[in-house]
Amino acid sequence: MTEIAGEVEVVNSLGIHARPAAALVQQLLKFDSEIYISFKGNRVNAKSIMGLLTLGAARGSLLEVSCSGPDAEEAYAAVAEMFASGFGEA
Amino acid sequence: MERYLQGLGVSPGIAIAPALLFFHDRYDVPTYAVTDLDAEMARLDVAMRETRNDLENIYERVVAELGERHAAIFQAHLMILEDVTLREELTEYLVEHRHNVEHILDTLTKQYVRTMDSVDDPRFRERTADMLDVMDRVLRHLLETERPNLRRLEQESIIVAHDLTPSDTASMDTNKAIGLVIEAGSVTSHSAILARALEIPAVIGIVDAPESVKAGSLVIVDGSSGRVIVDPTRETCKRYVKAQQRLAARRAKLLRVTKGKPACTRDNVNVMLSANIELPLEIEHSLNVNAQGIGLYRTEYLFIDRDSLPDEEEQYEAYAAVARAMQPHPVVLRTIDVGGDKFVSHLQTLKEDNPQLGWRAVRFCLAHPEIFKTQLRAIFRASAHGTIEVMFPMISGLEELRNVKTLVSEVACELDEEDVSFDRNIKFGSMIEVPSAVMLADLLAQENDFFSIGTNDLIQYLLAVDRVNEKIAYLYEPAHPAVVRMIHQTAQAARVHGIPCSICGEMAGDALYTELLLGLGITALSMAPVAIPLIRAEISHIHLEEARTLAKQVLKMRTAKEIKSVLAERHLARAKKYDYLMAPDQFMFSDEDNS
Repeated sequence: MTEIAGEVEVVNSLGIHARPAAALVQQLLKFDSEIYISFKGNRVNAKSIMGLLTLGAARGSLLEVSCSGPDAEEAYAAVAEMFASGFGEA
Repeated sequence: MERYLQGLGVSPGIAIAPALLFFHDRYDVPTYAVTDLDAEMARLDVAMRETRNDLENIYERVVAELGERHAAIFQAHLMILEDVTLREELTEYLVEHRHNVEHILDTLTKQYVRTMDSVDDPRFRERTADMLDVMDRVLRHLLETERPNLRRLEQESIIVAHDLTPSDTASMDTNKAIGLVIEAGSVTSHSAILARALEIPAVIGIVDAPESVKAGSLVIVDGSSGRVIVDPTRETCKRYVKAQQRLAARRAKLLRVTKGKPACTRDNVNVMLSANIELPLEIEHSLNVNAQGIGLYRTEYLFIDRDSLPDEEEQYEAYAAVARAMQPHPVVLRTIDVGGDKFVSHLQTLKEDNPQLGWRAVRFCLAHPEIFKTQLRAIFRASAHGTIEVMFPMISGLEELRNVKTLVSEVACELDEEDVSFDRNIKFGSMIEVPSAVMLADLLAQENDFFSIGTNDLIQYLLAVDRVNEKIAYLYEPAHPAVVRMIHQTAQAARVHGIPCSICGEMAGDALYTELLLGLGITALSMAPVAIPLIRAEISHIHLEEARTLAKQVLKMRTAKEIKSVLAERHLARAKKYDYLMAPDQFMFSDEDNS
């Protein structure tokens, strides 16, 4: 059981809207670990599109990510990678 | 009592049918206690499964009809439906409160809306629309109420709504939905684009549209004048039915008579007639009326009403498909002409006081070279599949044009390095729609392969009239002497420098102006496909020499009224003599009829 936490930044210009949220959830469903994202005191399950949408994270927002479980490291890497690439958007 | 409502016509034509009110209201959700929790969960599961089916069907239908890009949002809807958090919360609530699931779903939905709306960023508020769309679907299954389903309409209807979502229009039965009356939207909104593409008469901007009309009342939609008549008297109805029949008969006849013939004046001068299109499905209309090309391919539909930008591949597919379908005819593709409010709903954070004078078209593209270059790359690649020409909207001077061209060369170099094939002789032109471009037309002509005058915007900018503002809309006047002079000046500059000058605004499709435009030196006209047969007929009865003489006279006239009366007289005489009168309603009814 590993736990890993860190910070990611929203870099795509549109922020976390429906499509990136959907893409993120799709990626993260592959992992067994529990993945949570916190922003402005709101903590949500990163495998939940509804949760992600309620964050209201615009470009430039810093989000806290915490993963715990057997594949926490891979999961964290996946989250970081998705955010850094701006979900493949401009 | 018959009532007249005035809105903005966004898709021409006349439709008469009973009103079908299309509401997005929330439902009456009952609240009651339940004892069998498993049974209650099972009800929810059934409703969710049915919703899943609906969404998958819509997804496939939209992929087939409009392409993958328009369908992506329904994938997100499926994920919302199957969301783990939602599921957990529903279950917890059920165990704790033992209420029926519709009540729980409704309560949770409202909580989500509150949370999302509390985010102090307007871009995120729109998120609730997607969620509400999904929740409403589930609720409808639970309550076993169907909202008026636009997919299977029992009879021909006029759809009256506050707004239509992309999923509403995508699933609309376009054989039965024969007219649209919508409160929200704009000329460039999704429903307006679709209405034009399908040639369904549509009027927008009718405040409280659904509240002003009783379900089933007879409604007349006149998409040309923006007029909607509710509960028309028998007399009015007769008049419109007649007008409609006349219009249909004339259209059919015109099409028959002019089909296969080039647009040629009496003195044997060919005029290039091409079509303005937005959606690929309009290509068929264009080919049906023998358009000699696409004179204006608006690409905005790829960018609006969606969450993310279309990538190069998506755009390439779209442009290549149009180029291929129109082969060997040319397709003049206009680069992104939105910005401000229309562009990818969320990109812009600032609300502009004057979006028409704001950050749009090439201004927006130059500020976002990455977006612009992606479009240019897609265009270049598509040029290998047909004849593509490119025009840039809202060019106001040389610096702007040169900046745009620098990006064009960069893209060409990149593609060369990547060994991607494209047409090396692509022609590049400017839309002439800002008065400053007209003043500099002689200079711009030296650095362009062609001009295309966008009369709609040119008139707005020149006369400082927002045509959507009903208080001043009467000032919007294509026959204004200043407009005539501007067109003349532009055409002259083009002629001197040996480049073609076309018109792609509404004036091009209005037979009233055809003779004048040809006389002023315009060599090509691009318009909605439906207008092509009429203009072709009009041209066949025009003598270019006479047109030039007329233009000289008109250039000396002092008022729009004077100009219009001469043009109307000449056009009407021709159209009556050769029996092709198709005129818009100002000729169809006398003024007393409209009171």
